[in-house]
Amino acid sequence: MAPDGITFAYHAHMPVVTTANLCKSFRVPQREPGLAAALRSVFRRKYTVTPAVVDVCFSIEPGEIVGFLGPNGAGKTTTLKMLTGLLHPTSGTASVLGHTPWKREPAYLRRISLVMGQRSQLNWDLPAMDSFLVQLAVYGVDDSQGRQTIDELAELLELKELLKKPVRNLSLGERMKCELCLSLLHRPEVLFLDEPTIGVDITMQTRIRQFIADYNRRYGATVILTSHYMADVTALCKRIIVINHGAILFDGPLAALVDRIAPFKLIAIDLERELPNGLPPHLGEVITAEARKLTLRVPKDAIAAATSRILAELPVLDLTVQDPPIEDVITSVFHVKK
Amino acid sequence: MLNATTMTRYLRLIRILLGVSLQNETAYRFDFLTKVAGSLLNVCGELFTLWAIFANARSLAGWGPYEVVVLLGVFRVMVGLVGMVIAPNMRAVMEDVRSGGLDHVLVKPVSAQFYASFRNWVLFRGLDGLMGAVMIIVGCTLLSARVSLATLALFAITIAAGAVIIYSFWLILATTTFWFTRIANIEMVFWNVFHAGRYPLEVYQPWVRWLLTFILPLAFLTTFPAQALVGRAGLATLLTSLTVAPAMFLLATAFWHFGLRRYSGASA
Repeated sequence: MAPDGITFAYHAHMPVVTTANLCKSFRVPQREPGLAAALRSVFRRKYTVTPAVVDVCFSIEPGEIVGFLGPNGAGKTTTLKMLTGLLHPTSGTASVLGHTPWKREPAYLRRISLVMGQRSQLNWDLPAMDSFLVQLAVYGVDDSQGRQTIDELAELLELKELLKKPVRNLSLGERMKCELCLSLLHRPEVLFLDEPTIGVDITMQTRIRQFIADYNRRYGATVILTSHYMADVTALCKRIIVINHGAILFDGPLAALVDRIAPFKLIAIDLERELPNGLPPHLGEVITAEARKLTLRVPKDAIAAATSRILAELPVLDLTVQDPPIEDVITSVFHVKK
Repeated sequence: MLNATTMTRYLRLIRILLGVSLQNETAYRFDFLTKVAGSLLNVCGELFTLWAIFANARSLAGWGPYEVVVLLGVFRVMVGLVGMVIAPNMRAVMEDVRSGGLDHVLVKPVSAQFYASFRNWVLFRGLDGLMGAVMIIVGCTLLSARVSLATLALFAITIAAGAVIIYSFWLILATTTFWFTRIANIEMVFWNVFHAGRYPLEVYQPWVRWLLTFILPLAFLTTFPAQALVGRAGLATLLTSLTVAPAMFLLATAFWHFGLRRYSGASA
């Protein structure tokens, strides 16, 4: 543990988070079906080693909001757990705010916060305010500063009236707001959010997102977020890290993601009349077709040629070239790389 | 390590946790009444058994009736301690390991063992402790034993050792969930065995006595403190208590850390 008095100052140009070749594998007990196998496994278990995170390298600058995107089981949460010190990596290094997370030094833990959308820290039977007071004591925040932070956050999250109701009487969305407030009471510099909007309705999702963006702007906190709601990520994060099968597939700005991993565009056409034999296959791949409206997928570098060919060969009323929706891009990435 | 500021912070934290737990309980007033009634009935049952025994015998393995009242008092104090803070917290640890809720404990900037051990308080169970204290005082009065300062000190040390041992024992039980995930009815098993502590160690066969001292350290929880108070304990009791209690605590703490390393995958 670092002696008291030494603070790990970090400078604006220094990354808040860096990881190098971070790997995590789990040993999973293996068992064949059947009684004999069950008995055998009592005495001798076979394990298989499953890699959950493979050679993950990235660095995050202060004040960034970064989104981890990937399907279930991709390694997002495992990465987050290593960065918050809950899991030891199998190999590789990570540094957050100058600390090695899995040493779990109090001086480190006081500067971060972890919110898990699926797991509540609030005391079910009591008003949220009581859980807040416990949290302040755990983090050693002094009373007056604590009260001030509660007031500020309650204002931002519009939850003044909710604080006095027992948590069990709150809606899921209201509970999530209280949960967020609770985890920010000690003003963490780095905020880890694991599926913060899971199960919450759309309006509440939007408000929670807005709040996260506000908090980031107001306090300059770094936010690292995992979600499989695309909207969370597209609304909040300028930068995206796509993870699948434990490895990073993409790390960069959202716009570049579409460019890089979606090397195609969509051509939407309106026809004068229906085509009796469908679209001639050499013109492009049809994605949707309803009566006289067609959408084609065409490689980016073939757009010009395809457009002129379509205009020449078909009775076109209207034609537009579009970027594919981000959801589709991501889905296609996960499918291709499997 | 522990210094003055950390100590005050931890004490403040305990105070706040106590306050929150108290509110939690006042939310269920009926539950409170049933708990009180349950404790009273238990004590009555124990005294009734005692009365039945001493109607037929003059002593129980060398213990007179009032001495056994003192022993039952110590037993009740331990019941109170376990019910008030040890069992609720260890139950929560077992539940948290299974559900993954332990993550929330581990990201806190306080000792995980401390926080996991003192999060929950069932204050009404302290009533058992009070009843136990009353039984101890009444027993001593009826014995008209002269309780010297030295006796009191010996009692304080042995009962504190008993408390540390029972905590360590529970922590070890709770820590096994890191491997076994679910241990059905472990608490029932504990209480059933624990009830053997209502009688002086001497009533049992020598090998059971040995078992209850060194394997399931029940002797430390009830017999030794009661012995200390009624003037039956000597230097040997004091020294065993002073050795076994810290040893158990260190063992339990080491085992807990070993369990945590498994939880975080550091040992794999």
